[in-house]
Amino acid sequence: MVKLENVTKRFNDAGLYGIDAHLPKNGFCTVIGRSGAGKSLLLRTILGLIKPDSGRVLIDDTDIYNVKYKKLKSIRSKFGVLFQNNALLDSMNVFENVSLPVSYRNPDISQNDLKDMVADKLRVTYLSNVSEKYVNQLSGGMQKRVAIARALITDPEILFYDEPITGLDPLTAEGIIDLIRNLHSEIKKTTIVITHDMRGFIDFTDYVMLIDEGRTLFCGTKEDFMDFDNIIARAYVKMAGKI
Amino acid sequence: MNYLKSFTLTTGEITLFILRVLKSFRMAFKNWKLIVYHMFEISQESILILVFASLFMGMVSAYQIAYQMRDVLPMLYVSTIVTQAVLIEIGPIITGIGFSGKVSSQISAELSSMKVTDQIDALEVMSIDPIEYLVMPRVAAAVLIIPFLTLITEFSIVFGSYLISIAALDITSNMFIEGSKKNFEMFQVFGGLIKSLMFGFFTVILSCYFGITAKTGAKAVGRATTLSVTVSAIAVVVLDYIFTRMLFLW
Ligand SMILES: Nc1ncnc2c1ncn2[C@@H]1O[C@H](COP(=O)(O)OP(=O)(O)O)[C@@H](O)[C@H]1O
Ligand SMILES: [Mg+2]
Repeated sequence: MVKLENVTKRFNDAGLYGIDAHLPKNGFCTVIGRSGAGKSLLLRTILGLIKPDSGRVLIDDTDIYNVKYKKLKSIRSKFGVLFQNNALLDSMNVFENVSLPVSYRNPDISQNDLKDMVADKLRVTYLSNVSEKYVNQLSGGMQKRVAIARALITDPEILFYDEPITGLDPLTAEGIIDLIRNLHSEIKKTTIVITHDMRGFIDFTDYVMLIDEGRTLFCGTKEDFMDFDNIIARAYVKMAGKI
Repeated sequence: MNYLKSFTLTTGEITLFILRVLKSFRMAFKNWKLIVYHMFEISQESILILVFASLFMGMVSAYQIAYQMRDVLPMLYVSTIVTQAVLIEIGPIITGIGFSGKVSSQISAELSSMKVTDQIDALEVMSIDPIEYLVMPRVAAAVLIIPFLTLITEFSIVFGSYLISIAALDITSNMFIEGSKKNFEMFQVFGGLIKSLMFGFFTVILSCYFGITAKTGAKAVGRATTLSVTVSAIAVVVLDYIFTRMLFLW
């Protein structure tokens, strides 16, 4: 469960202003908002990367900015994150990238176990014969899949996807959407998709959070969102072809 | 006033950063492979340019000294002056400046583009401390490898001046060798190496700092790189003064 209480973070000309949100356990939640609305910034505060000026970020009832670094690390081990630009390490090949979170934490793990784990995650993300390739040798869609495989390698409790389909061609985007949906229905973990384009996700999302200019406009179930009388919300619903 | 404030803030931040890096040295053993990897990287990047620059530095030095000391000192002392200056001063400082130009810029460009593309945040979220994983191995590698690079630099400078002495200055091979042994003390070699160690430590740690704290956006990479080269070059000169006073003046 991810809970935000009055989270405020001010930069010179942008930021988050009193964000409240409750994203329930094991649900599928779509966070929408225009670009520049503060979605990625919100993600960073949830991940413990940017400390808010005020307010609290609760992960399973623990305030992540009020714990020791060690505890924060253990909370983070519940996270699997697809960053907006994948954030794969370009000095490493696919195998090294995907295995890094595991191999760094237990250096003693056997090569065989590691290979099995990576092979498993590459299989669920429909990647084959890429282990030895470097990130810049892969297409955009494949890079996304590798980044998702890396996010999955630690069997996270909460999966975050920041703009998973932005910049992809429609067909590739469709593939990534299917992958995200299948992963959610298979492993039933909390899934939080951040996007400025909710079209692909509206059918199977449980919760919607709408932010604009650093403020929460809406946070609740999809059904309530459909009835939410707000001009920006209506625009999103309309764009998704649901009116 | 604003400059003063941001200077103080940055200095404080860098100090904290250095302390964090020093603390992470207890993970050096776990990361030994990375350290070895970066030792190779650093040598590969810098060795050719160091040798090349040093040969010319040596040739110029021999000429300069012979010219300035003409009719004052016997030519035997050309190599004495070159060798002493190289061990105490020129060798370490050429290596240090070479590091700030080549190694520093490489490191800060690499780390800042990692920062800009969220790779560093990703490491943080995967509970891989970027200081422990990215910074410490580079700093450790620099400190371990720079004495060797300095020795190579020193040898190249002396060799350059040897070549020019024989070829153009009427100094025989024997004279050169005899001269370079005068006033020689082992302590001079070690003193120079200690200075170079400091240069390696500070140039690399500063470039890591500027790389890792880069802001977002493509411009940030350029900014981090420029800052890191400038600041580490200045640091080399300032540290040189401090350590020369501490080690060699009596
Ligand atoms: N570290 C930061 N420093 C200064 N401004 C920031 C920082 N992070 C985000 N911002 C600003 O916050 C706003 C929201 O950015 P972001 O969260 O990336 O938007 P998006 O909703 O498109 O993901 C932007 O105007 C951005 O410039
Ligand atoms: Mg964003």
